[in-house]
Amino acid sequence: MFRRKAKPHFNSKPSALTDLARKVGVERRLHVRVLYPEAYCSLLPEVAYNGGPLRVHDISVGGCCLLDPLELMGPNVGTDLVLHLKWADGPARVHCRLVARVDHKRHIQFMDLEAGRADRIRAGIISGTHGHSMKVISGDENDGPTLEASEVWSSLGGDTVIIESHVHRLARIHFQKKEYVMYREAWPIKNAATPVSRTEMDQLILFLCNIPQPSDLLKELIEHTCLMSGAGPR
Amino acid sequence: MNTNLENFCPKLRPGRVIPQGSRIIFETDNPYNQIILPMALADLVLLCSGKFSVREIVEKIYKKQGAVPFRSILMAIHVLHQGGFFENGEELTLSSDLRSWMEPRRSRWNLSWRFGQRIVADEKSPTTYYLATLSILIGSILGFQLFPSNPLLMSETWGAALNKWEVVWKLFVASSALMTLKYCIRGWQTILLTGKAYNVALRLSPWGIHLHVGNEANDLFENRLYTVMFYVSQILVPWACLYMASFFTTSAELEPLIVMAMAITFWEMNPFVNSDGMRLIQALLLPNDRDVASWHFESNQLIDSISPEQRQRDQDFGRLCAIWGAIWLLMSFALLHEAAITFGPTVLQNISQFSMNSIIPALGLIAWLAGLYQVVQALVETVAASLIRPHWRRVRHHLKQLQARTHDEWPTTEVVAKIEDLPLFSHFHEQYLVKVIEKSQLLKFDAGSVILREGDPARDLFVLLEGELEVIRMGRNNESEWITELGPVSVFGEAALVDDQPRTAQAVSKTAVIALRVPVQVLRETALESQAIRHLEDFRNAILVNQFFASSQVFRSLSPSSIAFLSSRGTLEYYDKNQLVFLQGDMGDSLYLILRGTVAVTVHQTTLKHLSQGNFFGEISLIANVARTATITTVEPSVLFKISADAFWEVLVRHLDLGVFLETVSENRLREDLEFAPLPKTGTDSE
Repeated sequence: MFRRKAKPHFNSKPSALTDLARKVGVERRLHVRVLYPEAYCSLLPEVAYNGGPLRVHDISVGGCCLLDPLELMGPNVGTDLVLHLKWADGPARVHCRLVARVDHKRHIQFMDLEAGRADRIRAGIISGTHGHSMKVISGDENDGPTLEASEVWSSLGGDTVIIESHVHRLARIHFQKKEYVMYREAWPIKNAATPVSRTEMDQLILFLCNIPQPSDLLKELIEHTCLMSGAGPR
Repeated sequence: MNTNLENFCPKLRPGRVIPQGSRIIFETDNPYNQIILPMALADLVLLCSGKFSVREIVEKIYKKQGAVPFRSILMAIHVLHQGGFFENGEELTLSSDLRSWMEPRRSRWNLSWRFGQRIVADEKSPTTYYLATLSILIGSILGFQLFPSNPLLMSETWGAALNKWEVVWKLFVASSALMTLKYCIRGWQTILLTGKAYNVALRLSPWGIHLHVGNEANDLFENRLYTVMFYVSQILVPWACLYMASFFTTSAELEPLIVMAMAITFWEMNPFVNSDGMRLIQALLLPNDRDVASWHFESNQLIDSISPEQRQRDQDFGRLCAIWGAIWLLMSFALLHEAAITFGPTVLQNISQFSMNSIIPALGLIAWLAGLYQVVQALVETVAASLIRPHWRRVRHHLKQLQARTHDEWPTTEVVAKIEDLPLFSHFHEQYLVKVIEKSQLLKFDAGSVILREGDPARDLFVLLEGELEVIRMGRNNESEWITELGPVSVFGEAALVDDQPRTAQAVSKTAVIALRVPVQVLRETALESQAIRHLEDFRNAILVNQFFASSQVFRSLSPSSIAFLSSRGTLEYYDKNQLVFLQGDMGDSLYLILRGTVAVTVHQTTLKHLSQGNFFGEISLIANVARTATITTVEPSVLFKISADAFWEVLVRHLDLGVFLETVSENRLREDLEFAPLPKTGTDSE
């Protein structure tokens, strides 16, 4: 009687189940790997071996995957070696083991990474893990309502990337409950007012780079964000 | 063509989907209407093109996202359907339970000329809104000084001094003016609070000719205090207008305004229509994320077994509405009664004269009768909702029991007809089945009788033909542990056939029960004689699996074809005591049903609970597409039935209510985990 007349209020939150499952915490996710962005990212360490920098393909708390086309680290799996993980506030010597190799990729396990450093990597990779669960929303395969955006990516966790065809705006990103606006010719802003900080920019880059199977538009956005990040705030 | 929910092909009205942060706004073009949905449902909205059924949409979302928010999807379809967003909404046939909650809004008795589809302000101004609404409320309180001590007497005195047509005209003008002011203020408030006002129109309604502003922007309210202030102010705003008018008008000019202000306020407090008063109760009692999932279930068993807190909240809401409704009805009766006494003799006298002067009194009488009809109808609804419906199931249950037959009325042919489809007996040809029944015994048990006792030697199995019973066993701490409840026609005590162990549980009749006791030896001999069963091991496994589905409160609501499908796609796994099934953090690709034994659920090294025979686990990973959220270890030798994710989903898209149920169970389990399991100190990548 009464409920029938009720005007429905819709639950505007994303699925509580995914949210709760994440809160319970999952052990393996502690060692989840995130792709290392091509641009400089202050959240994650740069890696050097014998004084020479190496490109990092992906990284986790337990180890990383390095690209070593010149075989600087040698061909043998099982070799123990020392890597220098360089953060902005100084490097750390870490004993590592080469546990696997595929072509020029070297899979490295950290043997004695300090807890503080591990926590730092863990904090850094959170943004990347957000990217992993993003899926594209497409309206092209049907005659349903039209989507007022060039492309939309979203996850059940509530993160969203809306790529626009706007003169000034390139995209709007809803990430970790904050609203970011990416401009074509200007430094991005957060929550419609504040310029995005350097750390937030790095988080965004890491988040975007880890979105699986990126489309051309998304690649363009990633490239633009990396470029913008290199330019710094104007 | 009418279709049920799963087969309904929703087609949205032409419109556009505007992504905004973590939400989307779906806007229809003509008439302008909008609804806000979570971004997670964008795929659903985009797929509502009339080409795909709800089942296909769910399947597509699963294939794309790896997970489906079942409850959100059903809620979205519910609100879209109720809001009239579907072009083909009338095609959706719902069960009687669903129909009452999901029928679209009916058209009202009014004519509208819509001239403003959407008014958008540059920015919201909640502070101005707060101050403005507070001023309206203060003005209303001051305006109440004008409330007459005897409203009907005042009306009569005022009406007696004027010509009848003049009375009607003045009431019409007063009503139109008050409603226009009310809606002007409403529009201003919504613009201040949400930055938008929708569907501004000039309307001809029983309240006169007035401006009207749609309620669509009210969905954008985010703050409960502001929402409550909004509705309270909208109920009382005529009095604030009166207070303002009192400075410019004489008391004679004010009288029709007072009459209409009373009428409008009284109407807006009516809980039986979609009034501001009704919305106020909702805003006070129902949170925005209220769960209406239980309204979608057809099966009472499912409703009973989910989310007791939410059901309690719904019941509390219903009770408060009933109390409010009762008070409103009493007031209405008192008003009608007083009106009959005050105006009745004069009206009847005027009508009996059959002149031009009779028209107005006749219209008044019609209005009075219409009011009486509304009040009586509302009274009937209140009584039905608060007294009859809650007890209807119990009454129905008793009626069923009265219809129950005694065991003397069970001829063999009827017993054969009852049990031949049971998985256990489906292998037998009818002649062998008759043989089994003839060697079996038909027993009657009173309510509360112990039919099987734990620890007794198992020599017979039973077929429950009539009545209800529950299966209980003694837990590890000597506490009785409820396993399942059985209804007709189902098999119990079948473990006797599978292994020669003593009874592991006891069966107690809840109602008078008629059961067929089948000696296991007879069944084995007949099975061998019939040669229908070549591999005894397979037969035993089939019995175990089928018995699970027949006795599980959750899964027995599935269609026979779905059960057969799941049974054929799963594999039996045998575990010893203290054996690991899976680890927290493993990738989940299957659901496990506990056919025998008990498992321990451990989260972050804390054992939270044990799940026993008849229960299931592993569903969270499948529904939410996350890694395993707990470690499962067997506590005793156990037999588990592992169902692959694909098979599970194939059944789930056909049974959306099961999906909603499992989602709710998963949520409740995770809430328990969060409450009792400490998070690891090393930190997680929790967001």
